[in-house]
Amino acid sequence: MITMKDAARTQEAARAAMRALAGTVSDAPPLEMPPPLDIPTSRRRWPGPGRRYRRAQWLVPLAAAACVIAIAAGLVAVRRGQPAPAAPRPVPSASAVPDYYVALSHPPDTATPNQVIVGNGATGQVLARVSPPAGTTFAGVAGAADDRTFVVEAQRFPQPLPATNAAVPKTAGDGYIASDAAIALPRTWYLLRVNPAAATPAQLVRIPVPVTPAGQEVTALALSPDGSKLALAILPHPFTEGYLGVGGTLQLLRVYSVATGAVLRTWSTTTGSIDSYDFTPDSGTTMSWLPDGNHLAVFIDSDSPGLRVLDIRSPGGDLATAGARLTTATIANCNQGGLYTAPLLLTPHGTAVVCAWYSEADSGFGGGPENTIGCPLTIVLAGIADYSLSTAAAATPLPWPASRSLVSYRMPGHCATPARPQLAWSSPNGDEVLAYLPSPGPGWAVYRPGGYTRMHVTSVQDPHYVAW
Amino acid sequence: MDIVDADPRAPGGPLGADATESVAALYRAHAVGLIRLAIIMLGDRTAAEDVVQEAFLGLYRNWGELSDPARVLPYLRSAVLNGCRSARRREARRDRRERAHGWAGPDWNSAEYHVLLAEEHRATLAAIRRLPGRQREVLALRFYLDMPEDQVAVAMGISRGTVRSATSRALAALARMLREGDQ
Repeated sequence: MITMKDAARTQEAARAAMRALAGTVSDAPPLEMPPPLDIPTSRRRWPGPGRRYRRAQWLVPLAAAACVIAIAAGLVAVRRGQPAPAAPRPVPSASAVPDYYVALSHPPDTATPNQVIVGNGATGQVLARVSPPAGTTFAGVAGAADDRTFVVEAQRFPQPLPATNAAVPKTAGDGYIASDAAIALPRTWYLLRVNPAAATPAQLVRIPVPVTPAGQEVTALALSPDGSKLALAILPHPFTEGYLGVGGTLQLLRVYSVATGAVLRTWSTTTGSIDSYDFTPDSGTTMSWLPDGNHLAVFIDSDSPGLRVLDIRSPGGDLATAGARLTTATIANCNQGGLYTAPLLLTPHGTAVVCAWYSEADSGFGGGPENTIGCPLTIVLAGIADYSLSTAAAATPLPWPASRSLVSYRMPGHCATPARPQLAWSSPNGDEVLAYLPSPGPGWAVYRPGGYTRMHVTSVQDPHYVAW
Repeated sequence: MDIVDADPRAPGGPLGADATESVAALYRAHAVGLIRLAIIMLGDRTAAEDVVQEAFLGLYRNWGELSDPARVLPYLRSAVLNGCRSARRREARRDRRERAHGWAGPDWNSAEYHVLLAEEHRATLAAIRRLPGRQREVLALRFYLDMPEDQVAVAMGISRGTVRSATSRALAALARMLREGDQ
């Protein structure tokens, strides 16, 4: 465990050390500019005296397309204490691109709680803005497969300072401790039903899933395709008693009944976590349900990170060894460069893994066609997940580089911007994805080989809190 | 901090003497600050200078495509961070190859750093260097550049929640490593 005082002290030590190291730099070498006429559109390499420049790409800010937004204020009913959702509904075809989204708004001021915005990405229409119950703010969202059912988490608001915060020296920093502690506030769970044709197009209903207690961090959440089960990955926060450091902390994975709140299954491990820093926990690809609603795909970050497919009809148990595990080669197919793994997605039918990245190698500056301009988004069918769900046999990856590679969008700029695509949905055969590409990319769009269709999501500050 | 949003000469014009002069002026204004950021990420002065040179060269090459002066410095910062990631990938590959030969990144105990850095800073930097890339990056942006969480999230392409989570886990890991180092 680390105490807040330890954290504050460590924060100051890190700050002081980094500033001391930065202080060793007091000047810069002369800028080695190429001759002006040698550079422009040919984008040839400029070797420069004594240096090799590897890339020369640049982004061009694109004007965002105007979204047609119709605000349906007051069309929302927040109903508390109502019966939990009815029996699971049929799941629509996973082949269809989802139209409706639920996004968390993040007001610029800290005094206003987050709302959820319900909209139609295909038309740009905003169906509703839903305010959180009094004294709370929305903190997370996940969607079912029917494009109409979502689960949202709410936490206390304004965020209280933890009692032990008084021990933190005044010089500790800029409020980090308080905001960090907010991660581990109790979580309350709601179901959000979207009915575009109804007079009240969004209804928020409290569900009986137990309040996630203070001190526990929800590192991933996933709502089953039929909306009947909620999977939560729960990890003690580093500032709590249960946190024992890397490799010793109990990672829980619990599946709850949305209707009753009962715990249906529990897995746990102390040798890994569902909190990977290389597998984009933000995008919802850390944990996802297979369409049958009986299998859950989970990324376990450990000494040997991997994607495991768990059968929730099994008794639960050790998270590190349960279920079928995709081979590391599949993951390696999406691991471009060794440190940052491209965002991954299991296709809706659970048959393949899709990942996407901007590839320098394809950009014309690192081995690709010399006349290629721009930074391409490459979507790769990284592996066929041909595991047997009944026998829990391991998956077989496609051989690399023979894996199917689809360049579906070419960023009109360079690769030197932190623009990891965020995958939200894939067609069953992996050749069509719903993804978010930051500026200068077009934002939310359905990307296909050779083109894309923009999705109109109303302005939200953080695309990571958008569920489809 | 020494990386501040300035009002650079307006980009967007054709490449030529003006672009050269403008980029050179930006370099004079921001190169030291960006090298400082890069050296925190990489621990190597030469590599940090290379990354910054590349960033400015990219800026120059694309000068004509820039339309918003306010984006120049965020672009440079992003280019430097991304350049650092690429450099770390190369370094990781080299590290795997050279591990057998004892290569282990910058030697904070070298005579040079003995002169330049106090012992406790060397220990802290060595621990920071052992953090995963994302955690190291988030520490540099949060506590060296003093960027607020939302700006860090935008700069790194991750959510604010992940910024918080990565920060707290980085601090926890760092505290543990420093504690173990004291024992």
